Amino acid sequence: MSVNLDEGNLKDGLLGLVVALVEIIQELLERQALRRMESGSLSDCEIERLGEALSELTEALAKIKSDNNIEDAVQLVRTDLDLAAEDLIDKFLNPASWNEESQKEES
Amino acid sequence: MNPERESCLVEVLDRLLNKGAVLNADIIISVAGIPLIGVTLKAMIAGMETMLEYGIMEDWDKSSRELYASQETHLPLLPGEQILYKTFGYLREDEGLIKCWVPGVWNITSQRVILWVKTPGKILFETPLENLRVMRVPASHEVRKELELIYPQGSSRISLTERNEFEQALAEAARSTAARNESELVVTG
Repeated sequence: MSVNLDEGNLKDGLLGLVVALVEIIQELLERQALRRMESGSLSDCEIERLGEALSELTEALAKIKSDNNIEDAVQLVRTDLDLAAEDLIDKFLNPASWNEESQKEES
Repeated sequence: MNPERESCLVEVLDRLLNKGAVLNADIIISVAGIPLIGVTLKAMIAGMETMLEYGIMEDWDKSSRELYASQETHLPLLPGEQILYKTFGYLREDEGLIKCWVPGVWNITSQRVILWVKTPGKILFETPLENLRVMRVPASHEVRKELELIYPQGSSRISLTERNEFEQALAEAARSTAARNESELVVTG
């Protein structure tokens, strides 16, 4: 379980990691915003403001990615993180596989 | 690349926030079997909607929304004036002791060009569209794209990342202004 950065181009790799994390937070915020909007507790004005702010953030992120040419680096980090998350869930749901894995490593 | 793809990690975190998680911990630090210091920790993480469902942070949610609403400012427009285009940008401040780029939102309305700062709600620069000329100037910084606004009272240097779109919007606004009162604006590049 690891996230690999491109050593050949550390600047892109690092920026990719940061942008990937911001992107994950942004997607989470979007989902939670949707939940709040659907709950009906926000006023129309607040919903509009929230939507505008989130779409601005999305645009800004897309711009940073295209300006620095790090779309691929971000994609790579996100895939790695997704795999790591999948791995973690798998271990939670199926603790037996954990044992098997550590035994495999020992032998 | 498909931006709508399902991300496993986001899905997991979203579920965690929807359900909410609580961590309670009590710690006693003792020396020689005598408890000396006690610590009670409570940590909670959840989406705000879940928090409100459980009645947590309700007052805070309400008061912070009210605070924002009370502080919100609106660009004061003249009667019949409409905002045609807005973009983030800077104005060069050369007077006074400190020479710097002041950030704000550039608004092109049907009558004026305005640099607006949302908090505390202030117009930093405004000039009517009539008799306004725009010139491209070499940028002092590679990321900045600079323009010079020339108007009867003087000139100002401004900077925008979306320079082309700004120029286009300005030219369009000027055309409709010129059509209205037959004054002219020239965009040179």
